Amino acid sequence: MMTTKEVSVTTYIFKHILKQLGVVIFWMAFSFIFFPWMFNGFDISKFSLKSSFKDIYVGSILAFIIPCLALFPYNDFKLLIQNGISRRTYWKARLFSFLGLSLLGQLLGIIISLLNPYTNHTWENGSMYMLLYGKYFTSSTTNSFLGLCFVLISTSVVTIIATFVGSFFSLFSKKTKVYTFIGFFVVGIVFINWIAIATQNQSAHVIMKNMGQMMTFIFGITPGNADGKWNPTMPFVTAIITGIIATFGSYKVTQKFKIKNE
Amino acid sequence: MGIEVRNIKKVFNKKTVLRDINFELEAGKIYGLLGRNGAGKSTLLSIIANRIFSDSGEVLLDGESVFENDNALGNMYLMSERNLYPEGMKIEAIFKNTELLYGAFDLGYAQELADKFGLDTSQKFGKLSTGYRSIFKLIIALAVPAKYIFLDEPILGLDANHRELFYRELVDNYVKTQKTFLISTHLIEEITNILEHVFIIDQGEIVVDGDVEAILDKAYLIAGPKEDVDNYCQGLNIIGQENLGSIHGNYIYGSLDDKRILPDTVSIERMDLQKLFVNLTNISVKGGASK
Amino acid sequence: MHFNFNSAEPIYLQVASQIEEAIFTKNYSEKEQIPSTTEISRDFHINPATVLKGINLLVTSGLIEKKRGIGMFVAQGAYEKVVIKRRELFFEDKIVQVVAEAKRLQISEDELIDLIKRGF
Repeated sequence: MMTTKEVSVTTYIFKHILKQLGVVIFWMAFSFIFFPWMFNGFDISKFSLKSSFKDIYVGSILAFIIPCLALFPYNDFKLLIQNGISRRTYWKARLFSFLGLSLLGQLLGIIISLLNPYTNHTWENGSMYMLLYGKYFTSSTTNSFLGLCFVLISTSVVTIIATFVGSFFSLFSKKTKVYTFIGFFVVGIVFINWIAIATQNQSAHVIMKNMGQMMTFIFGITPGNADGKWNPTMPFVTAIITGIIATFGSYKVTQKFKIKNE
Repeated sequence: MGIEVRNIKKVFNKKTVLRDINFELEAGKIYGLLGRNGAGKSTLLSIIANRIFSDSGEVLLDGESVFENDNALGNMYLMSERNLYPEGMKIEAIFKNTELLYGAFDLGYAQELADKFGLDTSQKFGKLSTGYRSIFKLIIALAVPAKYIFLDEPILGLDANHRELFYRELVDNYVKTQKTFLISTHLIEEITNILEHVFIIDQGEIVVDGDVEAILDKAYLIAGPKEDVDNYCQGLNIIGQENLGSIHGNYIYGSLDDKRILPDTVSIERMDLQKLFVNLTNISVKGGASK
Repeated sequence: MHFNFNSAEPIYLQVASQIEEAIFTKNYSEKEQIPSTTEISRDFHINPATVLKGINLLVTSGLIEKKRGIGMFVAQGAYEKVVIKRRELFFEDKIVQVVAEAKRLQISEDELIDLIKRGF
């Protein structure tokens, strides 16, 4: 169970993220209205709220924004350590807050897409899961339910991964961070280049093939079973295992947090 | 009851900042942590408050390690030179957050202090001058429910009036709450009489640990013609010297030998804490503190 | 009360002697309440324990009385006690010094007595 302190810290962090999210959503709403208006030559008569809001997938947008907010843990850490909060409590509160918000965001997204009067989208149309695995079971209720579960689990996992990555980078000084980013960038370029030439290279070819098989395994790709009939067991397993690793990793990394000399 | 600091060592970039720090804080006293700039005061306080890690050693509060311990950490407040509060947050909001995170906070008292110091609580923290940042953090330190308060250079940027007010409020708060204060500073003169016990830290080591009165009881200035003074001081712990024309002075830390005969030409005077501190931490002088 | 601290003497002794001085100069008359430990420590930035130690010296010597829950008062007859004490110390503190200085200045005993008479 949670101690009073943990509840207080979770309250603080949750409110804090909510505030940040509020700002982000405000600007988003603004741009969703502003850009269509602008591209219509600022002609108010051609502007329609309906077309502006028709294609908004709130869930997908939040699934992207919330993990972004989770990338920067250091400022909260500074304030909390000043207020006599341990790293463990900070980690726990942050994880709960982001998970909670992530779940709420997805539920909100689903509700909005169901209620959105401007479109006949159902939430399934925006779901990658439904596209790939949504017809595996014969019962569409089972499929939809699993799809819903997967959306909730996968967005949570992405959020946890973001927490982990953000925490990891918070360990470094600003200078080291810049170098690390450059490093990742270079490695990425080399990797892409390597893939490009892989087809000509015999040994690389084998590795590529192995990697392909691994991807097939991780995502549960079933050859010859297109149109949403892939087996959904593996994606669930993959998501959950990744989530556990990232949770553990973020905890370990948070334990190393300290006030930096900058 | 109290805080125990045991065998704390810390090395930064191959430079030893803290060698082997050991001391205890009893509940309900005002302590001074005196040291020159770079002596390791802030590092030590940051380690005690678990903001950074020591390479070895431990810090105990009432016998429990403070490491990752919410109860212990929530019973301490470190006011540091480094600002950990969000620049964009309003003072009144920070007060509220402090209440949430520490579980209690005397908002009325904090507001009262803010009024006395002329701190506008609707200001954002980032907009405050150095002096007012210090004042703001001092107000939190006084109004927070923690029992152990660490003040690192508390009077940084404060003008004479505000310093005067701070000393008043500090004593007032101390009498009312019986909190333990550990005040780190290199400006000693003004605060000497407030301190009950001092630690002098020099080059990463605690060189003096004692009640102010007892320490000053062992601090002497032996003055007179050089030859007579040096004769008298032979074998005593000389921590510094001073010359004024033909008058020579030796600063002594330690007990004098009562059996020695004091020549008519030589006088024994007392040293204040500031003088003692300067002499003990002056690296150009040979000799050292007796331990 | 006016405190003018120097570094030569332990602070608690200075606290005691300053209050004693205030009684002697009748700044505090008998039975009058004196400032509390807290007030003294707050006003002069002295650790309360130090102030208390000084005041306890005065309580022991019967110059100050503590009344539980009310405060501290100048004891009846305190002024008289201070005068007696100071008279006792007068010879050691003042006369011995005056005579020593007179000798160094080669002032004779008669001359010194004359000087003292002139001072009166």
